[in-house]
Amino acid sequence: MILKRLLTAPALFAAAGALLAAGLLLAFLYAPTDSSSMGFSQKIFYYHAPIAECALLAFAIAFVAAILYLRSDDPRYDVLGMVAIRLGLLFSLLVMATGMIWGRAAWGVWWTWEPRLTTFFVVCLLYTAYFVLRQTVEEESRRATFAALFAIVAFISVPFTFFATRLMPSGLHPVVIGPGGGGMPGSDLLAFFVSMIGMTLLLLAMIRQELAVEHLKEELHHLKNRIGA
Amino acid sequence: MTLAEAVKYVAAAYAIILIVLVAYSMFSARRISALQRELQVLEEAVDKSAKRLGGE
Repeated sequence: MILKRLLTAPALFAAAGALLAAGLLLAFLYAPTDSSSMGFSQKIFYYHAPIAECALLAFAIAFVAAILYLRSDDPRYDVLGMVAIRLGLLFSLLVMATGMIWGRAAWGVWWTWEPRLTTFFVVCLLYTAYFVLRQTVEEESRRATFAALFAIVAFISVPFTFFATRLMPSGLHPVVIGPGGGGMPGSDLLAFFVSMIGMTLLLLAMIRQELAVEHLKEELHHLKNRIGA
Repeated sequence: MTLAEAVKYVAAAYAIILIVLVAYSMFSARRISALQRELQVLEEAVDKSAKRLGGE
């Protein structure tokens, strides 16, 4: 059963890898170079934006898992929430790093306190605190309940980040998908959507793999307890 | 910004993504193999104790 789960992750990884490679080729060979002040540095967008969307998707998965845990008390949802937030933070780290590089190239600064960056930074801090909270509670079911409640409250910050560019337009972060298709030509959108699907599959593959690892750890823990190792 | 400068920034961004994802994959693969090794050791211990109990 565990091996079966591990075997499905590579299939997802392979599909994600193929789509991400195709997205990269489309971004560099098919999509035209941006004619605005961003120029060639706009090519960072084709992975940067999908990674950001996936980070927020991971936090959304953790939010749903938290609700399911509180309704069912099933520890599997606690593990799913923890894994999703862990990967959400990994993706957030990548967004911040690539965003800073892009910011330096396009705006001339590594960091600016504009709405999207600020709200994303707050999201990262909140979800880092999630793991601090988990460390402070010893008892398993209480830890899972507190973590679920925290994941629900923390998720309030996610829509603010997603809609930050629409609610408080600063001119720095453009609206990618909006009424009328946003500000991108079709060739840009194709590269973006292929990368987006690839990145989403990568996130799902990573979640599956992490869940399998956590399950394996739990099995080992029970086995050790049974034989007194 | 010149094209050569922009290329450096783009390359740096994609390199960071690649490095982080490869590091994650390596870390994950090491964790899986360590867990599998541990599982194997435990299975062998269980087999030994089962044989010992069977012999008594």
